[in-house]
Amino acid sequence: MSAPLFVLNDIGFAYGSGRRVLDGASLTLGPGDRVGLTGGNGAGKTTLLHLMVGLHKPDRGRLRAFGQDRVREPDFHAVRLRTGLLFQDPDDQLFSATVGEDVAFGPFNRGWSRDRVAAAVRDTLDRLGLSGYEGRVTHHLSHGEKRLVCLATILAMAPEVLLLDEPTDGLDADHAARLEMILADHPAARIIVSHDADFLARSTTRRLRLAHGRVREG
Amino acid sequence: MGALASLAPEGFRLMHIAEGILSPPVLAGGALAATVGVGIGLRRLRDEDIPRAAVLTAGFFVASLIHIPTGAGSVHLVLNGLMGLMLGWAAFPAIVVALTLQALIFQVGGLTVLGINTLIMAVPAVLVGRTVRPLLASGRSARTVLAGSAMAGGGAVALGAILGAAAVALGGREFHAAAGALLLLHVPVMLTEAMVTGCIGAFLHRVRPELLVPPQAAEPVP
Amino acid sequence: MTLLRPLVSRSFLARTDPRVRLTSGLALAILLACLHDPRALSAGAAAMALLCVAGRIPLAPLGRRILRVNLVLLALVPFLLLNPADGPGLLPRWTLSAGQAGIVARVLLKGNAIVLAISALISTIEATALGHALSHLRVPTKLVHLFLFTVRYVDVLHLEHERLRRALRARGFRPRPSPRTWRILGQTAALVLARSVDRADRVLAAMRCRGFQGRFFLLDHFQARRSDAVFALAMASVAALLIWIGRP
Repeated sequence: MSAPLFVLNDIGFAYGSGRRVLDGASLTLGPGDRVGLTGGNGAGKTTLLHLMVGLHKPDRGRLRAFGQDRVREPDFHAVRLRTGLLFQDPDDQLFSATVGEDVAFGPFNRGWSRDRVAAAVRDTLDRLGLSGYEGRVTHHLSHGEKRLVCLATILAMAPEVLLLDEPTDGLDADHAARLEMILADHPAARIIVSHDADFLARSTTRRLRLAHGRVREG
Repeated sequence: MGALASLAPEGFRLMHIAEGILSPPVLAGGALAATVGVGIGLRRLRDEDIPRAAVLTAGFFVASLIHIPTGAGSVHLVLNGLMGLMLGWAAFPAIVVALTLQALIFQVGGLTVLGINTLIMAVPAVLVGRTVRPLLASGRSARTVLAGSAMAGGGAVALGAILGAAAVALGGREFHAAAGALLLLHVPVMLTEAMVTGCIGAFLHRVRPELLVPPQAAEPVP
Repeated sequence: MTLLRPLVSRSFLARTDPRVRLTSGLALAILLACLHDPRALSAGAAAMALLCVAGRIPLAPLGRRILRVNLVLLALVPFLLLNPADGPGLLPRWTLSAGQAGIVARVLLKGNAIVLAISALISTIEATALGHALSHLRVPTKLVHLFLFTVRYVDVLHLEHERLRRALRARGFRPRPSPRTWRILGQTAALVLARSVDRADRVLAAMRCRGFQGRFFLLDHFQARRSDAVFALAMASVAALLIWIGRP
C-alpha cells in the first residue's frame, strides 16, 4: 500500500465564539481514494476541509499531509499548491477580471513559465468544455459557468488531492452532469462534501459522516 | 424638479465638482496633490491587503448609493469620514478607484476633475481618521462611538465642502458667490451624514467592533 | 441588474483598441479643460458630438449624462451672474456684463465638450478592459489590481444590498425623513460594509489555497492594428485643429 496523502489524527477545533466544531476527528486519505463526506448543517464539514489546507489551525491533534507534519502557516503553502479546494460560493473563488487570468493565477503561483501557464489554461478550459472563455469577464458568467470555471482554476494546478465543498450546489442538471463527468475522469484523490446522496453514491467509493465533532464510517 | 428626481436613483452626486468649472492650474494642482496622496496610500498598502481594501471599496461604493430622505429631497451618503476611519491612508487609492467608476457610470465629477475631487474626499478622510480613531480606540462606550463616528462623518463632509468651495473660488471673483452657495448646499448633507454615520458606527461597534478601528490601523503611524 | 455597464457602441469605436481610446479621450478632455477661446470650445463640442453620432453612442443614456451635467452647470449660472455690491447698498446685484456672459458660455461649452469626449472615448470601454488599459499606461500595478478587484465585487455587493432592501420592504419598511429611517438605513450600510469584509476574508482564503503570496498577474489582451493608428492620428488632428483655432 502506498503512503497516505492526508492523515488527520484526533483533531480538535473551536471557533473564536467558543463553539466547538471538531472534537477528536480522525481521517486518512490515500492515493485514489474517493470519499464522500456528509453531516448535518454546522457539523463542521467545511471547517474540516479548511483545516486540511491550513485556513484554520487545529487546537489539538496531529495533521500530516504529503508525508510531513503541518503545523504553521508556512508549512501549508506546499500543501495548498498540491491540493485543490473548491469553495461553496464561486464569487469567493473567482476574483480576477477575466476567466483566463483566474485560471492562470494558481499555475503562476506554482512558479511555472508563461508558456506552461498558457498551455495549462488552454488545456484545462478545453477539457471542461470552456474553450474560448479566456477573455470572458468573470462577473458576467452564469452561476453554472462560474462553478465550472472554479473547477478549472483548481484543476489547472494539476492537484493530487481535490477537496470539493458542495460542488453540485445550485447547478442545473446539465451543468451537474458535466461536472460529474469531469470529476470521474480525474485521477486525483478526493473528499466530496455534499447533501446529494445519489451524486455521492455515483462518484465516491467510501462514505464518511461527521457528527459531534468526530468522523465515522457510514 | 421632476427631472431632478428621475436622475436621483442613478446618483445626483454631491461633494463633486463637475467638468468645465475649474481653471487649468487648479485642475493640475489637484491632480498632482492627489497623485502624491495616492502614492503614499499605495506605499502603505501591502499586496496581501489589496483584496480587503478593494472589496471594502466596492462596499463603500454600493453603500454610497443609499439615498437618505431628509424632508427636503433626499441626499446620498458620502462616507469619506468612515473610509478614513476604516482604511486610513488607503482611503486615497480607494477613493480614486471609486471616483473613476463613478465617472464612468454617472459622468458627474468626471475625469479631468478626478484629482481635485479625490482631494476633496480623501484629505478630510485621512485627517478625520487620524483625529477620531484614538477617541474610538480608547473610549469604547456606545455613546462615545456614536458621537465619534458622527463627528467623523459630518466633519469629513464639512471639510470636503470647504475644500471644494475653495477650489471653485480660485476661479476668480466671478466664482465667489457660487463657492458660497456650494458651501451652504452642503450643510444639510453634513448633518445627515453625521447622523447616519453615527448610526453606522454604533451598529458596527455592537456587531463587529474590530472593523470600525482595525487593530493594525489603530497603531500610531510614524 | 449590473451597475457597471459601459455605453455600448456597435461601431468603429467599439473595435478601437481600448488603450488608444483611453489615451485620446484623456488627452482631448485635458485639452478641452485648458482651452479658453469660445470658438475653439464650440468647435471641440461640435467635433465630440459628431464623434458620438458617428460612433453610434446610444442616445438615451448619452442624453441622461448630458442632462445631468447641464443641470449642475445651469444651477451654477445665477451665482456666476451675482456680483458683490460695489459702491452704495449692501445687497449683491445681478448683472450681465460681457465678461460674465463669456464665463457662462465658457463653462457650459467646456462642460458639455468634455462630457461628450469622455462618453465617446472612455465610457465605451468595459471596466475590465479599462483596468488592463491602465496597466499598459504605467499606472502602478497595485492601483490597477485595486481597481480590477473593486470592479469584480461591486456587482456582487450591489446584489447583496438589493436583497437587504427587498427584505426591509417585504416587512413594510418605507423610508421617510425620521430618525428611525436614518438608523435603519445606517444599519443597512453597516451590514453592506461588514459583509464586504467577510467576503474579502473568504476571497483571500481562496487565493491562499491557490498559493497566493502577495503577487498578482495580468495576461495581455490587446492587439493594436493599423486602424487603431489611423484613429489615433484622426484624434491628434482634431486636437491640433482645436489648438490652432484657440491660438491667442
